[in-house]
Amino acid sequence: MTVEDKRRELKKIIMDTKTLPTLPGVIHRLNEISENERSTMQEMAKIVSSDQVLSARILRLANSPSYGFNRVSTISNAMILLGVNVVKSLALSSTIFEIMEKESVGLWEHSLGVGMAANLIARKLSLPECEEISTAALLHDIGKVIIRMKCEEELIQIRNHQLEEKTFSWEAEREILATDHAEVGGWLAKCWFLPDKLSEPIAFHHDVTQSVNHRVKASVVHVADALIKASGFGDSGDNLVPRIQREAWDILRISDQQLSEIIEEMEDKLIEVKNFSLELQA
Amino acid sequence: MQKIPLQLVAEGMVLGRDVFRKDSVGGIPICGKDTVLTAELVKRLNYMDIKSIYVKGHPVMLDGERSLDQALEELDRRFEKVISDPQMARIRDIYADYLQRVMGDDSGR
Repeated sequence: MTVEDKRRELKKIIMDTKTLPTLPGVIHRLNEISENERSTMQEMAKIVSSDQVLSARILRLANSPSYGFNRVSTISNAMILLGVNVVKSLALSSTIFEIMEKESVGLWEHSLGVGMAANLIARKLSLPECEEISTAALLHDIGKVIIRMKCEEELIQIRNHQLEEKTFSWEAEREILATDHAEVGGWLAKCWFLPDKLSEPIAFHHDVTQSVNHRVKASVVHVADALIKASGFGDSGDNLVPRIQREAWDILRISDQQLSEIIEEMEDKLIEVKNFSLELQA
Repeated sequence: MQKIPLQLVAEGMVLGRDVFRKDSVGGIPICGKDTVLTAELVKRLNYMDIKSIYVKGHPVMLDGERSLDQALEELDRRFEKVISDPQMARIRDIYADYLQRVMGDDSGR
């Protein structure tokens, strides 16, 4: 069997939709409605209200001191205040938490950290669509969860290869599976009908040169991933810091001053990320 | 001095920095440096939505957290593969500098 065959075979096994985690219907409906110019906030609020966990989270966020609003009690008010994009990100991230947390807390913490770091970088560089960037960052390692679920046997080989050869996880995955968690994550994002601006940064977070339409977003996720690995926060399955690609530096143009500020703020916020994670596990 | 999440604070720990209300950093502190923390006090801080505080010494071992020397050693181990890249070496230096500042005992007011 050629490498290409093996990869195709694997794609079939991995993408067997019967056992693949699904996105709750509420996210699909939110996406549909938010793309329709004629839809109203009330319609969206109605959809959100049908999911009680999501409703509770949105109200909690709208009432949190960081937004500084007073006593928001209805979903539609909360959605007007927070904005549709924040609500969509929140819906997606609580789903991801549920999928990931069962597999490993370390990976969840790593993902939360990269999400926060990507948001910080995007804001520091005044990039558009910060929310999308942090959502893509939160999701960037989702392929690892799928590999853990679907390739239990190969997983041991991958881990051994990684330890013996001192390689990165994606190099070991490519050696054993002929694909890697970034590509698998990209497949999953396509299966979930996520937009390109999310699926590209997920699929190319280890090689931004392959990203055609959203290289800036992919680069932010790529840098955020390396920085979180540098700080040793969470457990992505890689203990070594990967090299940040020249192309990512070139496209983002982060100055040394900005880099120090980002790292400082990031380290400060990681304490709160840890806190948030402890809260969710409690 | 160590910054720890409020959830990990235990009775008897001593505040290393003044604690401020979230919305008025730089205003009047709500709890002064050198205060010995009690369960009651922690409950109140929690009620005021304080998420983390600075305490004296280094009472809590967070995940993977060690002494400054160990932290620097681990930092170098993580950068093992990329230290020859000048840009990556710069990132390592920023981290080392940061660790020295926050884990040394002379930080903060």
